[in-house]
Amino acid sequence: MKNVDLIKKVSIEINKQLAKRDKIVVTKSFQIFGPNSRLDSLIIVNFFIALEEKVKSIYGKEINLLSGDFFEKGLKSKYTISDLEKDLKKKIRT
Amino acid sequence: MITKELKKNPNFNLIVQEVIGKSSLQKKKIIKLLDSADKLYFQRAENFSFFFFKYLKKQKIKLNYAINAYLKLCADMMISQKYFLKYKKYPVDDEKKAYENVYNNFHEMKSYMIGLAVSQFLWSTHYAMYSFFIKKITQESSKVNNYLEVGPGHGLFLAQALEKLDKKTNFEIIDISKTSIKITKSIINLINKKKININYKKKNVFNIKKSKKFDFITMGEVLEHVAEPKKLLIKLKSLITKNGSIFVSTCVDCPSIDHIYHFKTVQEIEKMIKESGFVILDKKILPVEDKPMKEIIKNKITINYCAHIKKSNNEK
Repeated sequence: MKNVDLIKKVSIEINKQLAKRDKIVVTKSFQIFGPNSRLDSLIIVNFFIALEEKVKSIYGKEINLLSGDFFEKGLKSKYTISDLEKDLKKKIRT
Repeated sequence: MITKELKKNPNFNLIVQEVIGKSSLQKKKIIKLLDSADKLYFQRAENFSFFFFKYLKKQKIKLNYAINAYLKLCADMMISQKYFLKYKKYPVDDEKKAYENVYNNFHEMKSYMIGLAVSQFLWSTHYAMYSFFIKKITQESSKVNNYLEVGPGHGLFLAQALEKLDKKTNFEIIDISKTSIKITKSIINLINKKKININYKKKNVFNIKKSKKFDFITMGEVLEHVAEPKKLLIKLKSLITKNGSIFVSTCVDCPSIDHIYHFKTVQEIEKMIKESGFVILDKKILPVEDKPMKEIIKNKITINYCAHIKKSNNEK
């Protein structure tokens, strides 16, 4: 499964909890963190948990998408779906 | 409106601008808080910021370090929250580990205390508990000759006690962390205008003799840091005078790098307080997100809790 499809699947689940204007739109530029992000910290946490669980069920691999290192780079400016795709690729491969 | 109020308070404004400039996630929360804040909030926040800058200067700490300490605290909270929701337990489960990782680690503790001090004005629930404390210590001030604070942390509550209580009051401040005591002392030395004598001790509360009695005890956010909070409450009961009272705060579903005891509901906290021989005089229940209580409980969102308590009449 392509990483973007994985993100789409998880987003469908998370979007069920969100109001229409707050929904995750899976485009490369959609900001998870950043000045234009509408996601609150709880939604972000749930989104990452769901993604990690999906990766585990598909690849049998435990990954951690939300670490201290992530905040070092991720919170400074913005973190988009495109960044997430890259991180997923890296973490699933290693 | 926010900009206008902030501009009137230049020191606080600088902290806010630095934080929101670095974190968009914080920006949204802080703007929401400032939007509903009253004049007193801005006054207190500016007063805190003024002394905070003095403290940073004296300690040769750069503002950037302080802002990053606050953001690290927020990030640690999010990471702990993720762990908690994923594994259904707190990331740390024994006191020794927390002591080694945090309380006995100078750099970690320093960053943690500075971050927490900033959070007192940037987290609505922390500010609400701080306001509740000020109200209670002011109400009780005429009765207090002996004051005890357990785990003073950044010293902001102690600073208020010093301001509200008579200068002849005996102040005993204890903490198991040498670093925490050191930080509290260095902050308080800057704001202790009345030059009140304060007795700081690196000490475990269980080692205070039962013969010692206090009219007011402050124990903010300590219960969740110990494995047996009920024992701690019972110990406090043995230290309080008949008409004395206690400010206590803790939290429900609040994973952190050093929280050990998991309170699952507000009712559980209150049951423990009552079973330890206290009555609750007043309290605040403060969820960290602005959502209906049903949703807060269902999604295990942190609830801050503080109460003003005293010995029940059945107790000696």
